[in-house]
Amino acid sequence: MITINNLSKTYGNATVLNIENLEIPKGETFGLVGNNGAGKTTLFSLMLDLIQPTTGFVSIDGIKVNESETWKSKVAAFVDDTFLIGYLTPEEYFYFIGELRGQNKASVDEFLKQFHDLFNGEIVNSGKYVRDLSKGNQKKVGIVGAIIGNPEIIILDEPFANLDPSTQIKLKNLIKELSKQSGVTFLISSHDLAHTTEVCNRIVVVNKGLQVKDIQTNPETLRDLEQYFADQVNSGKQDVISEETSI
Amino acid sequence: MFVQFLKLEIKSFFRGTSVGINLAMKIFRFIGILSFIAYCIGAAFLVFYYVEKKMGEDAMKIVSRFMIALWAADLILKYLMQQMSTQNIKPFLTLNIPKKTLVNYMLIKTFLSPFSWMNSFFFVTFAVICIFNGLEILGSLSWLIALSLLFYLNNFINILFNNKENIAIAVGILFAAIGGLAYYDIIPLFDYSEKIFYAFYDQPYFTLLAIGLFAGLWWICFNHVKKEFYLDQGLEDKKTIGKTENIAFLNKYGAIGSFINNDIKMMRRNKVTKGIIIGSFMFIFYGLLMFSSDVYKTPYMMMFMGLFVTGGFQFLFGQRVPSFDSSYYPLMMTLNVPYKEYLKAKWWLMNIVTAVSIVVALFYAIISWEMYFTFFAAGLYNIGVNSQFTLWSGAFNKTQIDLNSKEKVMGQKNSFNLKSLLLLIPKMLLPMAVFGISKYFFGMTAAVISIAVLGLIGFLFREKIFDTIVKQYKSEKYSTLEAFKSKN
Repeated sequence: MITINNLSKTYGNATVLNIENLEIPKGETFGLVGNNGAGKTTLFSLMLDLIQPTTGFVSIDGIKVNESETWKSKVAAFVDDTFLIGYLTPEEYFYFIGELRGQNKASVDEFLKQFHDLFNGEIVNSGKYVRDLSKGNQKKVGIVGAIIGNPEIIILDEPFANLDPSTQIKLKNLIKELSKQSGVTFLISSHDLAHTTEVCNRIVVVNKGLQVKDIQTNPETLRDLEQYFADQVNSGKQDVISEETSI
Repeated sequence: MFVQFLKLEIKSFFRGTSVGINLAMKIFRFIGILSFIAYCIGAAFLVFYYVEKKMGEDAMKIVSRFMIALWAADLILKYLMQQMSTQNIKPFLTLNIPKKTLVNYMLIKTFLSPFSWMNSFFFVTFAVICIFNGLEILGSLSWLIALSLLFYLNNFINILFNNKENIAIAVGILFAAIGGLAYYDIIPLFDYSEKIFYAFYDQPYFTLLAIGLFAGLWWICFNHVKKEFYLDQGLEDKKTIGKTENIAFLNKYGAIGSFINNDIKMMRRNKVTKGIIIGSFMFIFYGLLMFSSDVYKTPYMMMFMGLFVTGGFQFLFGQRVPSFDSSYYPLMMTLNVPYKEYLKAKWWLMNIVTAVSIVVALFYAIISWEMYFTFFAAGLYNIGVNSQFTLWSGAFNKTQIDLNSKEKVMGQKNSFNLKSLLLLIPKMLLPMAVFGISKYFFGMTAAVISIAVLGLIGFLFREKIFDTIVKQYKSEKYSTLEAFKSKN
């Protein structure tokens, strides 16, 4: 269970994130939706203790992330390419992560078998270092790396971006399966409303650092979300028009 | 068109590397360039007046005589340090700019690097002095033009042969052979050099030859680059075939073993770290400096050398400990490993290499056993004490390192920082003082033992020291992450 309490992050005068209270229970697939600059990555970085909160805290199972490192045994994340080690081959990267999460080489190999299809022959035994893979393939490596070793909580920032359509579908199935079978808690941010509504059972919309919507996913959710963002765009237009007329 | 490009260059100079090279580094670099310019100008004056007044010889002749060595040094330096940057060119490929312009832009850009134009300060000053002192104006000018062209031409040679390591090695061997033959007076290399380079002054029309050579090489280079001006050819970063490998026995040691395994791969597969390996290897021979001056024969300096002989790798690697991991530091900070383990892995790696260096340094025993024992004591001190202090100073080093860029092997210096300078006291001065003083009063054995005891104390208290370092690293964690995030 992840608890966020009175969490805010301010750079100078700009408050980029301000969330009063948010609880993510175990086993939830939590979707974070918002435009660029809404604060999605900031929130994830705060959860991973990569940046310091201005006020408040994030705690995982009752332990504040900036006070103890025990959360590290439960959480795995893939945020961006700074989570990849460029000079390793993909296998070495998986072994490295796996060993740190208590796996051995054989169990990592066994684990990787299920992704044979997903990797499409371009990742394992490709004779390439991670730094030389295409963006999409790097993303696959990062996501699979985050899943190794049965972490309880998996944080993925924009996992669908840069992936080809087949991989997007495979990834959605994978998330659903892990969530159902192993009770993994997923935290997923995305720009893609359709993907997010499909896999997540709860969706939070953030806008300019504030939580504006908290929805338990239902058949209407996608339409609601699309409506919300359409309204945003229209009201933005309205603002421009009203500004122009006032001039 | 070139004005536009120039504007971009200026912007990239002032806006790039925001954190990687902070303002202090920029100023430092600027001062460095300025002082090098001053050296070049000063050298021109010095050479001219020394040769003319003291030796009573023709300065132009003497300079021409040694020009071949300078030219070769320039070529080697450019090969090692200069790289034609292909990254910035990609956004222009699809814009409405003729390919010809882009290729020329890339070629001309290599002239803008300080390595290229700094030596011009020497040539111009020297030529002006010559003219003022009554040498022929036409001759001096043609000498200036010819030599400048011959030096700038090195850029083209570098472009043509960059990344062709076999040719570079062959040329290197050839240079070494010629140098050796010249040294033993088998080939009168400097006589040839004098004849050739002096001819540009003596018979100004020879300059046409230099101009022709320069233009010809430009043309060849232009065609070479133009032919490969595609994303999947000349503009592609060189890729190496990845090979999965693993030092299996290290896996027995859990997270520490995995980290060491990883670091070894890092050292082997990146350009910057390869430079570190070569550097540490060179440090082993640092003790041979003893033969250069008596200054090094005092016990203080012996200790000083010993610290570097056995700890070259430790100093080069340890101070950059978080920096080397800068491109994936967020991963390291979220992995299921306590900070202490991460640091301990680095500590073990450094100490293993130091221990190996102590063994390798055994060859100093051929020179004298006393020397080796000094180095041995220094090695113990490095393992026991310095390994921790070096890691400590690493916590203050927030320079981002792009592991695979050759251009920056030298450019990426440690960020200068008062605290890491203060740490030099226990690292260098303390063992030097203890060793020197106890040797003076109690003799060699006591001196070695006292250093060894210091090392042992450090080793025994390592857990305590580690806790302090971990605290330090933790309090620097967020600002380090922030500094590593900004892209150059």
